[in-house]
Amino acid sequence: MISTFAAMLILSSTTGLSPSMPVSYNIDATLDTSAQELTGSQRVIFLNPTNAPISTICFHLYPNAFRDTSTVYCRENARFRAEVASGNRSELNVRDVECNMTPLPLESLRESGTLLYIDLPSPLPPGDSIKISLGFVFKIPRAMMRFGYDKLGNYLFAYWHPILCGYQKNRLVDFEYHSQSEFFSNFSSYDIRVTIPPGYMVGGTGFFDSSGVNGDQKTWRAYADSVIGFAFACGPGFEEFESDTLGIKIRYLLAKSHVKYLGLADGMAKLALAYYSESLFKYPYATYTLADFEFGAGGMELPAMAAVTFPDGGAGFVWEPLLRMTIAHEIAHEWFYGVLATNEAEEPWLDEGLATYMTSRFFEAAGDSLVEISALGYRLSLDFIEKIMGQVIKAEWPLDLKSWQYPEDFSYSAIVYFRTTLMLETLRQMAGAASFDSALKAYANEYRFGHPDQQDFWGSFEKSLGIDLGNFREQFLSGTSRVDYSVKSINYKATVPDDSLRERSFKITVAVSRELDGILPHKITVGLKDGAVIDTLWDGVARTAIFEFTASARPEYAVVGNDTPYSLDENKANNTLYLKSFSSRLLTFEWDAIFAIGIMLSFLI
Amino acid sequence: MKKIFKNRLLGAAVMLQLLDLAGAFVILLPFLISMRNILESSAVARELWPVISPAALADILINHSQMLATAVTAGITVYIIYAFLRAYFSAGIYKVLLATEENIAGREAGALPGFLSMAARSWPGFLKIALFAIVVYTIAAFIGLIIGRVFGVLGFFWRIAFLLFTMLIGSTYIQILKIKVVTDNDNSFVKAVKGTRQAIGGAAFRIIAGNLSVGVAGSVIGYFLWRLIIMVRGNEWSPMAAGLTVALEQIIILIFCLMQAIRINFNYSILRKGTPDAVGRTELGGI
Repeated sequence: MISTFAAMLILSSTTGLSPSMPVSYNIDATLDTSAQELTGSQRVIFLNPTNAPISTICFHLYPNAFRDTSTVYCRENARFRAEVASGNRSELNVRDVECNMTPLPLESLRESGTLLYIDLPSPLPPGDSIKISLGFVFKIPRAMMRFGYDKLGNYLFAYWHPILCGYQKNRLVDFEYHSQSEFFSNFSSYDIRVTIPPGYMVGGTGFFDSSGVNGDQKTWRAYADSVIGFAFACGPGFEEFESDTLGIKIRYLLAKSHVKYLGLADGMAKLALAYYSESLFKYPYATYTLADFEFGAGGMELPAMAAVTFPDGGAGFVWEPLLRMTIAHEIAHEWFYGVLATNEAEEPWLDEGLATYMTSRFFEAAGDSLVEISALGYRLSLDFIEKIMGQVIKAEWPLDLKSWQYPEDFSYSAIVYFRTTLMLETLRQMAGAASFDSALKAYANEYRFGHPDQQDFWGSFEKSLGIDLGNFREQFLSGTSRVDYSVKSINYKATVPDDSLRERSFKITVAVSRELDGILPHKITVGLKDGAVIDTLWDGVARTAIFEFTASARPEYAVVGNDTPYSLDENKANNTLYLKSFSSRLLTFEWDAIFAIGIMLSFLI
Repeated sequence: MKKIFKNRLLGAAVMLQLLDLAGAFVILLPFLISMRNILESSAVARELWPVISPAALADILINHSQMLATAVTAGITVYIIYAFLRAYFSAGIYKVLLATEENIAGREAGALPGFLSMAARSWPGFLKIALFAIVVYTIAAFIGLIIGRVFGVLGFFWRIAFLLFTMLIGSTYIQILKIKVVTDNDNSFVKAVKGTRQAIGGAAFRIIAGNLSVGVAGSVIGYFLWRLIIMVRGNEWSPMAAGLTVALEQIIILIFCLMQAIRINFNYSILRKGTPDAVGRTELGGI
C-alpha cells in the first residue's frame, strides 16, 4: 500500500499534477480527410483533486450531441435537429479503455448521452493519480458550432476528444451537453501530436511545432499548460499571419477572402489584450490564436484561442463593428472562462455575463465609435443595443439559473449576457467606480487558475467593498426584481421672513416614487435657479416619499438617481422633472419626425 | 409668391411639399402628442439633439411600446384615409404641371375652384393607379433586392443603389400612367396602360436615362444639404441652429418635390412625342 502510494506520488511529481492542475493529456491523432475522421489514442493521467476517494470518473464526449436527433441537444435545438436529420452528424467513439495499463471490462463503462462513466478497479484516494488510456474515432461533421469542416475545407477541433469532467469544490460536474450549455473542465496540460496533410496551415491552443513530413502526411506537435481544453484549427484554405503585443504571439488563420480584415482584427486584439491585462491581470499565455471559421455563431471562446465568423461583405458599416465587438468579447473570455474557469454550464453569468460586461467596459474606454453603426450621420452603438436587450427582457428570469433552465435562446442571451452587464454596472454606480474596479481586479487575481463559483464572486466583492450585498444579490441575481424610480412632483412656496432684512427663502417639496419592486438607495437632487444644487439620500424602500428642502432660490428641477440613473433603471425619462417645459426642443424633434415621413411621402407621387 | 406659382415646376413642387407635410403631420399626430406628454418636463428632452440619442430611443422602445403600437396603428389608418385625399390633390397638381388645354381653361376659371374641379376630374383614375402602384412597387422591390443580392459583393452601397434604381423605374411607370390619365381626360386604367405602351417601348432608354439623371441630381443635392444639417447639428442646441436645420430639412423635401415635378414634366414630353399621329408616326420615330 505504502509502495503504491509512493509510486503515485512519484507519478504526480513527474507529471507536474496538483489539485489545481489535476489532468495531463497525451494525444496522438491523425486526420483522414477522405473519411472525415480524426482517429487517435490518448493517455490521461488524472490526480484526484477532491477530499474523498473517487470510484467513478467521467468523460465528456461532446460530439455525440449530434449523433442522432434523439440527443438532449437536438431535442432542445430545432436548427441542429434539422441539420442532424439531414445527415450532418458527428460522433465520438471510444475503444480499448485501459486503466493503469490494464484493460477495463466493458461493464465498467457506461455511456449516458454525451457522458461516458468509467468505474475504476479500485477507488482513487485524494491526491493519488491514475493513468487512463483509450482510443477514439471522431466522425467529423460539417461545421457544427464547436467543430467540423467548412466549405473551404478548413477544420475546427474544439471539445473533440474525450475530456475528463471537471471537479469544482469536491463535486463532479458531469452535465449533459445542452443546446445552451457550454463547458467546464479542470486545468490540464496537453502534449499533442496531430497528423494532417502537409499543405495545411495549423494553429490553436499552445505552441505548434512541425515534427516532420511522412509521405502525404505531416505531424505537428503542440504543448499547452494550465489550460482547460485544447482546440486547434487547420486547413488548406487558411492564410497565416503573426503579430505580437505585450510578449504575446498572436496568430491569425484567415480565409483568403477575409485577409482584408487582418488590420481590423489585429488592432482590436492588441487593444483588447492590453485593456484586460491592465484591468484584471496580465494575459498568462504566450500565444493567442484567432481562427476564421464559419461555424454557425459569431464567435466562440476557446483556450488561448477563438474561432470567429468573419463577414463575407455586404453592409460593412454593420459587420465591421460587429466583428470588433466579437473579437473583444472572445478575448475577454480568456479571463472569464480561460483563467477564471467558472462553470459555464451551471453558472453562465459568471463567464458570458462578465465577458460581456468587460467588453462593454473596454469599448467605453477605447471609444464607443469602434462599435458604432453609423448611417447618414446617425450613430448607434452595438454595445448600447446589447444593453437594451438586457432591459427588454424585463427580468423575466433570474440570473443564476443553469444555462439549460432558460426556456429559449433569447431569454438565455438577454439575461445571461446583457442583464449581467446592467447588474454589474448598477453595482459599480452604487459602490463607486474606483472601488468596484479594484474589487473586480481583486476577485480576478484571487481566483486566477481557479474554479470560482458565485459564492466566491460575491464573497470577494463583499470583502473588497466592505458592504453586505445579500439584498442586492437576492433582488437582482436570484430574484427577478426590476427597477424604476420617478420624480412625481416638485412644488415650492416662498416663505416671507418676519424680519424684512433677511433674504427670502423657498420651501421646496419633492415627491418621488418607486414604481417597481426593485429597491436601490438613491440620491434626491434639486437644482436651483441660481445654479446651486442641494441633495439628500433616500434608502429607496417606500413606494412613495416626500422630501422637503429649504433653499435661497427657486427650484429648477429634481432628480432621483445616483449622479446618473442606475443602469438597471428601466425608465430614465421619469428620473428627472423640470418645472420648465422643453417645448422648443420638442418642436425641433417634431419637425424632424415630420421631415422623416415627409421625405418618404415625397417619393410616392 | 405669385411669381413662384407662375413657374409651373416650382409651383407644383411647393404644392407637393405642402401635401407631403400635411400628410406627415396628420400621420404623426398621435405619436407626437404622446411624446410631448412623456418628454416635455424630462431631462431626456435634451437628448433629442442633434438627433434622438440611442438612450432616449431605448427608453421609448422599452417603456412605451404600447404607445408606439397605438401610434403606428393610428398612423397607418390615417395614411389610408390620407391616400384618398392625396390622390385627389395630386391629380390637381399634375393638371397644374402639365400644359393641357383644360389646365389653361381651369386657370382662367379662377385658381382654387379651377384646381379643385380639375383634380376631381382625374381623381378616379389616380385612385386606380394608386392601387396598381402597390403591385408595381412590390415587383420593383423584389427585382431590386434580387439584383442587389447578386451584385451585393460590390458592397452595401450598390445593393441599395440597385433597389432604388428599380423603385425609380416603377415610380416612372406610375407617373407615366398618371400623365396619360390627365392628358387624355380619361380615367380608364386599361386605356392608360395600353395607350402608353408604344411611347414607353420607343423611348425606354431615354425615359430611364432622363429619370435617373434627375433622381441622381436630386439625391446629390439632398445629400449635400443633409451633410450641412449634420454640420449645423454639431453645435449645441439653440433656437437659431434648430430653426436653420428645420429650414434645411424643408429645402431637402422641396428639392425632392422639384425633382418629382421635373420628372413628371420630362415623362410628359416623352409621352407626347411618343404618341402616334393619324398615320401612326411619332416624334420618336417609326410607324
